Amino acid sequence: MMKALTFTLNGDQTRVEVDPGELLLDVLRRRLFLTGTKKGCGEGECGACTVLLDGQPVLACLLPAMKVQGRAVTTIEGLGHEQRLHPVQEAFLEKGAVQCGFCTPGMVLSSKSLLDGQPQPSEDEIKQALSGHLCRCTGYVQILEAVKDAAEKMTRAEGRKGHA
Amino acid sequence: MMEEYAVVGKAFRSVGGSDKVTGRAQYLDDIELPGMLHAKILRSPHAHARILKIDTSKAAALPGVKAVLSAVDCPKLPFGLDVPDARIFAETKVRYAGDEVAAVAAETPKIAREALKLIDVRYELLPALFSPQEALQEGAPLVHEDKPGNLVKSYVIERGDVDADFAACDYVFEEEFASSRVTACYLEPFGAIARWEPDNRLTIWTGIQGAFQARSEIARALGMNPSQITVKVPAIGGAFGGKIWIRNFHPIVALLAKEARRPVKFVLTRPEEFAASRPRVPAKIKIKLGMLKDGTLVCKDTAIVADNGAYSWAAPKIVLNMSLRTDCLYRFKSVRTRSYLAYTNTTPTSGFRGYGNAQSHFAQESMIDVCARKAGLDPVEVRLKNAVRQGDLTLHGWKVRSCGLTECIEKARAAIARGRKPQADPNGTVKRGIGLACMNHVSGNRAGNNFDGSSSMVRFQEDGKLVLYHGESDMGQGARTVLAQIAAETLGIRPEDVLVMPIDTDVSPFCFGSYSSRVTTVAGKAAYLASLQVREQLLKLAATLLEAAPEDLDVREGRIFVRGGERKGISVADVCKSAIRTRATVGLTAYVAYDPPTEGANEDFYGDYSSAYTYAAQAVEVEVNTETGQIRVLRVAAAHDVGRAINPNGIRGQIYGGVAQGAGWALYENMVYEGGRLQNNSLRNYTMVTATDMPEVEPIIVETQDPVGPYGAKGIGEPALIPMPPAVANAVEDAVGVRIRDLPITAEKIYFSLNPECEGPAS
Ligand code: FES
Ligand code: FES
Repeated sequence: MMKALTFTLNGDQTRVEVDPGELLLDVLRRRLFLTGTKKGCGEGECGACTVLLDGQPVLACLLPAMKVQGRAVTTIEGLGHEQRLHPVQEAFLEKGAVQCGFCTPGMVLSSKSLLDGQPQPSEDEIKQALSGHLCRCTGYVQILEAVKDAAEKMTRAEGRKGHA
Repeated sequence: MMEEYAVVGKAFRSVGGSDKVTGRAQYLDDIELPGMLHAKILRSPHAHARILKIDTSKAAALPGVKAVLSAVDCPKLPFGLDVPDARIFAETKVRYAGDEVAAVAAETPKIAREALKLIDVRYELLPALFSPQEALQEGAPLVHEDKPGNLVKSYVIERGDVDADFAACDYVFEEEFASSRVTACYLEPFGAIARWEPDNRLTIWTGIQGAFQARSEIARALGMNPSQITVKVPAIGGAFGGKIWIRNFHPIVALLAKEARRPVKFVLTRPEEFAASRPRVPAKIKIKLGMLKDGTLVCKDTAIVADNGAYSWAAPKIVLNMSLRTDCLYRFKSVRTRSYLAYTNTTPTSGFRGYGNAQSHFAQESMIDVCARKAGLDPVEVRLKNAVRQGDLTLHGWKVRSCGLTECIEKARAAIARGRKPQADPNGTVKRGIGLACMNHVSGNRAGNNFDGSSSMVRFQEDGKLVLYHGESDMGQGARTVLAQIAAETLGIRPEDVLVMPIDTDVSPFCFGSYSSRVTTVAGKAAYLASLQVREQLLKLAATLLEAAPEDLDVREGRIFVRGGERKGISVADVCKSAIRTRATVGLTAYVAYDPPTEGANEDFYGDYSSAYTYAAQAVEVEVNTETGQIRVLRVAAAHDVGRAINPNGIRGQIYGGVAQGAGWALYENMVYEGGRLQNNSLRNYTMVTATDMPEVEPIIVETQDPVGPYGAKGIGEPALIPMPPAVANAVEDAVGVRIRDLPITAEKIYFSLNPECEGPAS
């Protein structure tokens, strides 16, 4: 028996029929064709499937889709597009933080969530926020640089807005 | 002074990067085809067993199942590399826990999984071999009945008179080292989609490093001609050597798709990735080394016993690398190596960043420290004294055209000395030490007299954009970015105006693939030469338009102008417009097949087989807790001779990533087996470096301007991983006086070495 799931997806009210036990990851990828959310393990260990649920990072490979009923989900597709990237996305490109890119959507979303709550995080806070994300390519260094860079730019932009 | 370039050496955003940060990049599992089915593979739970019976009838009857296959339904053509011993499915017996026994394609992955449970296989257990030492013993059971003694391959390589040289040495030392089984563990699981086309042609989508090699191997397994098959390469989520060669699932999906008459997708699960992917070839390496009192390294005698696993993939070639390459790092007078590669009932081993060279570096670079210490010498000075230099002809016949080894050693040593932490904390629990290890590697590797080059086609479009076709996969290392930079530099256009095409074997020029750290050097050179030809065509046409002589023209930032009279000019786009869709009939296209100027090695493995050898020295500072044995790598100074940096951001990325993988291997990565079954088959218990334990890294780029590589560049894909394990082992000895000879260097091993009175595994 399929169930109706209604939630806000990347700002849009969305309704989709799902199997009761179906995982959010499969609903996003297979039913809604949002393939930017990646599956690296399917067992909650790599962080590639991270999406934001009401602004907080969650692992879509562990979360039954029905749990997002009535709530707001942001996937990488909801963050920015080529002409207007989110500052975190900009910084990832600028600092060379993207190699194969498979960990990138999850990394970018967790970084965004961190900066939304803590605009000037310390190095340790950034590492903690990303500690659930595996990246086999980059050794994390340029990812950390990117998050710091995005934090600075976002803070400066906020400052300007404040003075205007 | 090195020449300044407009694009080469400048920071530049990676090609395809914006697709990756926005989630639009398409990896294999993101591809959906109409009517596509999902495949699952039934694997052997046993390390070694005879197959008494396979009954697939119940699975075939399950609603939603569209095809079920086992060995009886498939061609029985052997495939593989040097020693082709693989079959699509296990036939009479299974040879490792993970061996392919049967496969199902069904409407959903769930149905396919259910169907696997309905396949009835009866086994009769056979005695299994878990180490090459056991396998090589007289009377050991055979893994393959037609491979006597379980020997896959052996090599004896000798240069000079080793025995006489040992007799003349002041010191002769002997030690044994062992490297562990580790896996590439790229984040995107490997897989393939197959679809049959009209005309009996087959399309395979797969994120593989060598599309053309894949095409010929799939053709061999299926008994087809390569040109009947198209291999298309989507975005690849990491590879590191683990996705160079095909796996059994490639022919399997093709046959399932044929049987079901529908497209079929197969993606490995993470536990399957662990149990049935191709780990690094583990080896025991015994080294006898002779030296003089003043630290001159004279001669070396090495014995290697390596584990091939159940089927042979790249391991013979890997053991060959293991047997040769480190001999060319220092100026040895004579060397001898005897190597044995044996079948066992374990997962077939193959390539992973370093391709054998990493294992032998762990042994040799640990050995140099052990010997120098015993002789009362500074290990770094010993390295400096013996390092190969530009212009050397090594004892295996390599021509060293560019070499920054000495500079790398000096710079890494200086960098690690700066800002050192105290050698011990006041209470004495924490001790710190530093260690250094060197490495040499290749940029391309000619096998015998075969082609070792790359091809490239570049072509201007009518709007002035350049399209570049190539066949070397970008698995994240930045192949596309470097190729775009080289073409842009050569043609005087912006890198943003270069479109680097995806790989499709029907369209892409013939290439070998992304391995041997060869892409920048050989594919970059092919792109350079093709761009040069198109540049000539472009300037010739511009010359008529500008009424000037072609040799007086130059092109920069997309504009062609008369040298000296910069005002008179025309845009590249306008010239393209005049060439294409007009009666000028200028192609503005070039196809170049480039083969580097090396002769390759002879049957005794002597000869120059790479046009550019790379060198590095990495120094590390570690911290050891003497109460728990816990080790942390605090800092790494990684100095690399890259010839010439084309993409500095990319080089840094390769260094950081290589350091992370090397540190993981040094400290914790290890596949643990129990009765032939992998115990840590999940990211939960296979530990890799995370953001919180990544050391601080100082990348040091040394430029030696290679005479052959494009703009002087050499490869950087593999080098940064290679010196990490020995550098860490050397630093640990510096910190606490304990020498660990087998990887990984765990807290447990340190603890028991520091507390020999406790019962525990000695190392
Ligand atoms: S796919 Fe969800 S954590 Fe790996
Ligand atoms: S960029 Fe490849 S896993 Fe992070």
